[in-house]
Order: sequence, then structure tokens, then C-alpha cells
Amino acid sequence: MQKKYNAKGVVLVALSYESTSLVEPYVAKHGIKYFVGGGAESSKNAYGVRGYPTMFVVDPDGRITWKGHSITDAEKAIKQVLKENPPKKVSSLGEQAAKSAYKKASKLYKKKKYSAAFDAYEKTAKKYKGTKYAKKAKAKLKKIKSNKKIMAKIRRAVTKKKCENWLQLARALAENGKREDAIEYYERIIKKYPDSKYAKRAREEMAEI
Amino acid sequence: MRGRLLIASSLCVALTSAAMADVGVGDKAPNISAGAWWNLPKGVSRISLKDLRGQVVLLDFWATW
Repeated sequence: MQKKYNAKGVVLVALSYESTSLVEPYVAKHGIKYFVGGGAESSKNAYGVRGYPTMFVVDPDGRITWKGHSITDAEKAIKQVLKENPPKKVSSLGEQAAKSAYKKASKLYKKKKYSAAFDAYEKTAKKYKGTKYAKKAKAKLKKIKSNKKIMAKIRRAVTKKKCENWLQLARALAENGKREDAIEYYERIIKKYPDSKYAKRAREEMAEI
Repeated sequence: MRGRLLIASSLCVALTSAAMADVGVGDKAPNISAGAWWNLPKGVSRISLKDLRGQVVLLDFWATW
């Protein structure tokens, strides 16, 4: 029944008050694939559940339209809600999570925080692989990579972040008398970004410790 | 003596009914939470009814016994 209604925007959430030690083996043994929550004691109380199974149908506006114990009646209640108050979306939780991650990345991009946006798009593409918004993030990354101006800005931002971090570490180490370790960080900057202002600073500071 | 017993017993009833809300058709569905979740989609760590707003939800309170 679950598969039949999934495509229509119906989601099944099964909640047990019991602990993981009871729920997990049960889920594994019965090959349950739908969403299951365990340790849901407070929810069970909030819903006034006294016997099992007790089911509720919740409409797209968050209101309870049916309460009962029979799956047949539950299905009737679902059919009724689908008719009277159809779902506004069919997308799964994964898609929704991917969408909001993508939107966050896009906001950063609009604010011209290109380096942060780039990282956020990359995270979206990786974490939500397979979703529509992961594909969109990949496409956006491709577009950004082809934009030389923006890529240059990103490179500068990454350089700045890395070098400022290494300078900070070097200074802290030097202050604590760890001269050799401090030098290691200064040399890292000089080696990787030899022509940068950070390398200049590194050389200056290294000469003084 | 009887007065005190009456107060004690009505307190008991009040306390148990506060712990066990009675929610029915037409009511706003209380939010759900769980200590642990299984079979959630990639990148999702928990479910709340807020996440599912706009969809139809079948909540099934069950037990392994």
C-alpha cells in the first residue's frame, strides 16, 4: 500500500515507544523499508495512544482527519483526504533536504560569497547524490568553473583563508617557543604561494623568530 | 480525612490526563519526535511533521509485541 500512495504524496511514519535494542532487530528481521522512529515515548503520550496499532491520518495542513486501528479504514481515510485535500507536494524528504541545501548555496552566490557558495554547491552535489537538486548543483558548479573571473575570486578567497590560518598557527607556535614548528608553517606558505603578500609576511616574521 | 483523599485522587486523575493527551479528528497533529530513526533518506537525520507539511501523513504507532 505504501508504494501505491507514495507517488501521490502520502508518507508513512511508524513510531514505537520502545528502545533501539527492540526496534532495530525488528526492522532488520522484517525488512522494513519505510520510516521508523524508536524511543518515541513523548509522541505516544502527546497523541494519547493506549493500544497498538493506533493510526492517525494527517492532512496537508497538519490536521488529524482520522484516528483508528484498522489498516483498511486507514486506507479509506487516506483516499478521502487525497480527494478532499490533495497533497501540495509529492517530493520525498531527501529531495526537500537537497532543495534547501541548494537554495542556501544559491543565496551565498547571490551575495557574491563565491568561495562559500562553491563549497555549498559541492556539498549539495555530494551529500544528496541522486536527487534532482544534486544534479542542479553539479550543473551550477560546471557553470562557475567556466567563469574565469569568478574562479579567480574563489582562488584568492581560498588562498587568503589558508594563509591567514597558517600565519595564525605559526605565530601561536612561535609565541609558545616552538620555533621549528612555526617555521614549518611559514615555509608552507612560502612554498605554496611564493609570490603572494602572505609569503612576504611569512618571510618577514620568520626572520624575526 | 475524606477531604484529603478526594484532593489526592483528583490530583492523580489530573496528572495522568496531563501526561496522556487525548488528540482526535479535527485537532492539529502534535509534533513527532523519536530517539532514533531508521530508513531515512540520505542527508536527513530526523523527521518532524513540519518537514512533511503539504503531504498526507499516515502515522502508525506500533510495538514489537
